[in-house]
Amino acid sequence: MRLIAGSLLILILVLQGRAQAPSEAEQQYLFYVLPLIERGELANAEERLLSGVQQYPRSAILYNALGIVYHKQSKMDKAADAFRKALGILPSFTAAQLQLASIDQQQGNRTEAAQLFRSAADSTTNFEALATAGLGLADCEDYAGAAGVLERAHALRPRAESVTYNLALAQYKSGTPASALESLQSIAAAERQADVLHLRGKVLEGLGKAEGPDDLTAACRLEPDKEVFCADAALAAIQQERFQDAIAVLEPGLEKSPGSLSLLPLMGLSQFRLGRYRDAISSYTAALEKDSSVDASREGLGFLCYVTGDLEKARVVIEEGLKNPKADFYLAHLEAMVLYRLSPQLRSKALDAVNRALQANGKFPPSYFLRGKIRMDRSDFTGALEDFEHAVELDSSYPLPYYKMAQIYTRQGRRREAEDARRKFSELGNLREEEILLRQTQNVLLPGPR
Amino acid sequence: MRSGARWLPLGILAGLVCALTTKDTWPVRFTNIAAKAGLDGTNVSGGVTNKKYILEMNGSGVAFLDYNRDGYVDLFVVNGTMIESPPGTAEPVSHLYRNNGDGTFKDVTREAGLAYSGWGQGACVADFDNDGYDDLFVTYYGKNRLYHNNGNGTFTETAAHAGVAGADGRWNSGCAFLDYDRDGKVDLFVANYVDLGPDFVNVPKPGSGEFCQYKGIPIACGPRGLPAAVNYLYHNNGDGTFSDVSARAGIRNTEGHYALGVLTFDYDNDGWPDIYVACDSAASILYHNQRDGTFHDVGVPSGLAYNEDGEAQAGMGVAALDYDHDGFLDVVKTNFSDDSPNLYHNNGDGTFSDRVFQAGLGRLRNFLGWGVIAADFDNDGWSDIFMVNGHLTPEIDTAKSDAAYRQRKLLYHNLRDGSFADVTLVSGPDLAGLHSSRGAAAADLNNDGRLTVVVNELHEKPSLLAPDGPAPNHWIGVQLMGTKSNRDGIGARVEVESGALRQIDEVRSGGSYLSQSDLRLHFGLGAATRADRVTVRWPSGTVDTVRGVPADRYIVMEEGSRVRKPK
Repeated sequence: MRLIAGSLLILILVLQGRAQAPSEAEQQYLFYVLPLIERGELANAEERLLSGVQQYPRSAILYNALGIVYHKQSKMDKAADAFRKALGILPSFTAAQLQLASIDQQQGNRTEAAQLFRSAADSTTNFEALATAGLGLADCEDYAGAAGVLERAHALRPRAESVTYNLALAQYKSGTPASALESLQSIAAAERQADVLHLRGKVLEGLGKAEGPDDLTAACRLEPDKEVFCADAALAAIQQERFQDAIAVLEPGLEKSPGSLSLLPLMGLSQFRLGRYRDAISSYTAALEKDSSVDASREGLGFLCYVTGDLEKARVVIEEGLKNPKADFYLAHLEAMVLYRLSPQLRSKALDAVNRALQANGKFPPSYFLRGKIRMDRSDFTGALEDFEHAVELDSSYPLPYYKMAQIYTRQGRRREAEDARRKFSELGNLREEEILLRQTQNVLLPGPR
Repeated sequence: MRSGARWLPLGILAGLVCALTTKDTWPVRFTNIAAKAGLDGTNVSGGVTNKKYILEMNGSGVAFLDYNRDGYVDLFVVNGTMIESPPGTAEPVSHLYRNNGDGTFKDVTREAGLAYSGWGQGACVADFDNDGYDDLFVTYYGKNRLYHNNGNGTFTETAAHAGVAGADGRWNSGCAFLDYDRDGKVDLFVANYVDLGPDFVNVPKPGSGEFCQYKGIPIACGPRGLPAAVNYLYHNNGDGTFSDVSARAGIRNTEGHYALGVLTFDYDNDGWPDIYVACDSAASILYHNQRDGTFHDVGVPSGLAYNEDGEAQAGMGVAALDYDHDGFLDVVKTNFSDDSPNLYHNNGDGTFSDRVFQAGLGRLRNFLGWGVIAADFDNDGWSDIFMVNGHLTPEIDTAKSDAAYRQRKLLYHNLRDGSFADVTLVSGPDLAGLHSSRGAAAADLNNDGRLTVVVNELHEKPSLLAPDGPAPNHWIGVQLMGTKSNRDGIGARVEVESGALRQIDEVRSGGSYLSQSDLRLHFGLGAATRADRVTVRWPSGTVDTVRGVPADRYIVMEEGSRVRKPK
């Protein structure tokens, strides 16, 4: 969200109608203190305002000003008290509502904050107050509410680009990308503004339009320093399987921030998909060196070592990450894959690993498939069949469990069941290992939505 | 399936009593002697730097045969052609090289009547009319060629007359002669890859679709996305002609495969030859011989169709070996890059388990394998594995991926415990040379117990990788001469016993990637100076045994227990 230019004075004076109007004496007092606040003479201002509220104990504007001074001094509890006192005197005091809401929001009291932002918006027609309330609601993740408030601000000043941008962002986040696109179309010279292009790219993506990734790429080109722009552009390219394009947008960003944790894994993934395994291993290694606690980088590196046949290195990388008891389930799954392939003597350890993976995530069909295979190797056909069946219950388009089920049924002399399983296997089609692993891992290795 | 006790795997015992050969003691060093030997025909396979059609990528096979019966194995190198030849360019032809017996060859293509230009693919050898001279079948995109050996150093092309030419536009790939009905006359199996149609009518342009890309670069389309072709089985009528029995024999009951390498072997030890076909991007096929003139595809239930998990692979070349000496023939298959080859262990109950990782063959995953040879290169009595590799097209290198267009060979030494060691880099620098290899075959060119490998290198002269120095260990060679059975003894099972070693192999036409190795069988004997017993189970059902065969020589076993001296 863009911050709208605001003014302390405006926030202090935004009042709802005549009923909120302070006395002339209070106003005089406030105008006497304001220069001190603006010059940063906060202790002096605090002293004057404390004496002011003694003199005018029912003055909402002085309590509000005192709250601002406390806020500026990071005395949050005192600030909140002062704003509450102002609101106790004048419940619909918009400025105090916005200030208190802002503190609540910062302190994680989103529900209370959102309520105050809403209430402030309901009680004002002031452009700045509406813009601030809308922004606050968006920060509290009430995007629909934010969109409604910002629409009012936008109606007041249609040329205020920051509000239009924020409105579009709120509309996009509230799941109305068509409205967002309409709002963005009113921004002039959008092509020169990276954040507008980035948002438009996301909106177009949300609408399933092919131009979306182009806007994301353009945003990244305008501001390659902004990692999120380049990461989103790369992500969009990866999702469209345009890996060369992904690398093209990532390279300038990585030149500026070589250790970027949002760019390196995407670079690694793109290089992997282009078969540039050594480069991909370097990217994931760099990401891991930057922050060894990031499971996604470790998973990427471990997976690459696995698919390139360096099982010993894969094991070391993965087991290092598994020292963290909160490690992602996929790391344990990867460990099981590596141990299974490394040696038949390590099957027990592989079984332990896949059990841990399943404990952490019982919804990942490949883990059941892998455990089924290990059980099958140990002639535990009942357990293996249970696992294979579980895998296809979770993913009915998963062909491989049927293949193994057919093998077990054949061994058990259950000819008809074997044929049925084989038929299902054939119907589901078959892919190469590379393709299956890509499918399974790409979602795991891709960063989550921004 | 025949009853009988399953042999105890010797691997366990051998592992205990034998010091395993390591990379440090691997005794074989190869040198590429092709230039010195006079193999100077350059492979042609469409565009050298840019390939528009998949047909330009697959390359061709090679075939060893002793066409003039002088006792020295000769060499036929299949060649392709160009989509559009530049004006004034000589039409490329396949080459027949006569072995002079002194380490050199002479190109006798024209005098032998084999100068023919076309999209040559594979070759297989057999004496199809039992006249004592080996004949040559060459597959093409287009009509196949059956070269009947006239016995005077020349051949006559008889494919159309024999009924095995096929039709224009068909992409014939691997082939093998086999006597599937055991009537004493070899029949012919011909795999087909993709239905390109005449003039490539079925082929979209490079980069034009999902199956026309490789790692982000546009390349020639296929095989996925292109119509698959069907395989053919021709029955030998005994009068120089064949009949297409594909439908009647059940060969057509399988569809949707892109068939390449062909291996004939008796996987279930029932005395009847079965056919395994390595298929690209689809299930491979195992045609089980029903002993009544028909076949049934048991690829999926046997475990030979896919890898261990049921994942499709891009099968190219294929070979049989009993790598653990349990009396059942196992299978090794090469596949595409980003995958592993297969080492299918024959479980002896009609099923196979892919033990490629346990065997140590699954670690190198950026090789695209084509030709594969299972042979005992160090004569220690255990079959080793030789693979040749190379990517599809030079354009691959523009992707800057780890999979290069030119790749080295791979040689795996059998460690006798079910596993193999990669000995490529200690087998001489020429094995590490970079080429884009396709067909490969092995033969004992000097009849001295040393196996030489020939490789058809895309857009290059072939490699002839000959071992340096004398043969390590002792060995024997067995050549068969059928009387009731087909003349070459194709399909005969030979068992050699020497001390605790018990080895099997079969006389086989075709194999590897579209190629033909020496029809004579080669067995290493390790330190043993003789084979205690050599047993031949002929396709006719006759069993012949000879005892106490001295090592380091070839014997010719004629059906009916006669042992002849080789020429």
